[in-house]
Amino acid sequence: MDDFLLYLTNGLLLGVIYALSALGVSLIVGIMNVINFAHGELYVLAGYFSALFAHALGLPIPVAMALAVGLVFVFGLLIERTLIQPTYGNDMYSLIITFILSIVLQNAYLFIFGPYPQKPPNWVTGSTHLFGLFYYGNQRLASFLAGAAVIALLFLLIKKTWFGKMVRAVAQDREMASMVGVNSTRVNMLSFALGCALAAAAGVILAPIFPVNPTASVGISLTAFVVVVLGGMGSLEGCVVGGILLGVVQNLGAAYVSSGYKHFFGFLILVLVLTVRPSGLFGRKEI
Amino acid sequence: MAFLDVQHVTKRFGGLTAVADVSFQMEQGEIVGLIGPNGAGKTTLFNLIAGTFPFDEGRIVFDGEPLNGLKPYHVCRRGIARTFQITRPFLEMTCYENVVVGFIGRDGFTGETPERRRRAEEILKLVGLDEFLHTQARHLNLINKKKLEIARALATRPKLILLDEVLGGLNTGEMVQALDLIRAIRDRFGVTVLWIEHVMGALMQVVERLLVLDGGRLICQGDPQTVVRDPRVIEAYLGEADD
Repeated sequence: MDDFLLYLTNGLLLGVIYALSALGVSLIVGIMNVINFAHGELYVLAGYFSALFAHALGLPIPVAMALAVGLVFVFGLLIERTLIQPTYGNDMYSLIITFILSIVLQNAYLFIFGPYPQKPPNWVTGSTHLFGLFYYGNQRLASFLAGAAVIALLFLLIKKTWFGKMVRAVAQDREMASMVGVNSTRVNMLSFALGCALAAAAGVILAPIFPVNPTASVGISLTAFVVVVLGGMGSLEGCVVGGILLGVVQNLGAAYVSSGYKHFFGFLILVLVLTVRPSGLFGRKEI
Repeated sequence: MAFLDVQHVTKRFGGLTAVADVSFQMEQGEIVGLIGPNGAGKTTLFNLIAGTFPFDEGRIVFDGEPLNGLKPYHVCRRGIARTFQITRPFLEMTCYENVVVGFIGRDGFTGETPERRRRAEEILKLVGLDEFLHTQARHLNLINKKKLEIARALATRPKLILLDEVLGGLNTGEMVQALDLIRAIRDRFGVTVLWIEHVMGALMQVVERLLVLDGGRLICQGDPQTVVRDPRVIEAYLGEADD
């Protein structure tokens, strides 16, 4: 029983991390119908930035993190304006362009930062005795809490604020939103950049636990796509539920069957869900 | 100077001329009906005025300023709103949120003040949706979806509203409600109305002037009673319906 609790906790924490890493992809798909293949690279970039700012410039950790996320947000604005806007109306082009961007960025990181993993300093040290049963690393707990906070903030932003209402209107009917005065091109730019900033937020929160290297992005993007498809393309709720489900199933499977099959269980749950619900857990049926 | 001045507007789709050299004027506060057989170019003309697509020739001047080349959201901010034949509310949002999007579009996202909340409720009350304030739009029936579209259009503080077949699919009782609503839009908000409709009987009760399109051309305009007796109109449209 104690073991089960440990595995479950592990799965839950990992699940929130998966959800956090996938939210940016989901947001951009939901609003713009664009799949950002360079998502993982932006995550890694923020990880590098936060390490660089904290170590080389000696900035306090929160400042380094905020700066990293801010820079990636601006980078996202630039990507949208220069690479995505010319592809409006043909989703295939944006797919190819972000794929090329991901390869270019990976090689740029290799060239600039070198092949070795880098990590920003831990926020906290030591561990906590959880439920009186086992010890859990404080940094992991802190990252989990920060991740949960970012997810909660995003939901507040989308569901409650005026910005969120505008974004949802564009996601539901772009042309109609434009007819009631919403500048959908600007909403696109902001949403894309927000999606990139979410990748960056995941990057700075998780880099202390999982150091970044130039190709770490591949696994992050892949997991994010699994979570997004599992939860339903473009659904933020689905993204959170899908992430947690994936995390828990992977961990329980790894613990009770074999850790070598961890990814097998991830894909098994994906196949099962898609068999029953082809558009994902929270997916809307295409009309 | 006319409030809306459409001058020699032409739109071609490849070899098809959907709107051909159409000119007409509207005064502020008028309710004008736009009729014509299917495929006459009525909705295309709306799309040209609303900026959905650019026109090939001509000029549209609204409230003293030309609309040529403006994007739909700019046209909206100049004060032109529209509704669609097939309703398009934001289905996954509540009625209240739908109206709020209209505010945001018009004024930019400057925040939710009590004043704005009150105005949103007022608009929804006017169209008769006050009891559905927090109902998601996809749960509404057809008449209420149509009312919501009008509410959202009103939220953008239009000076001119383009209505596209508001009455289609409504029963008689609902039509009476819709007609009252259209009169209220003009009388209470001072909004000028240009209205495409196939339900002639209802249209004739409300409009002060009729425009008739056929094959992309404006074949007749004027007082409704005179227009419906015009031989060209009977041949193009009403004659066809009487057969």
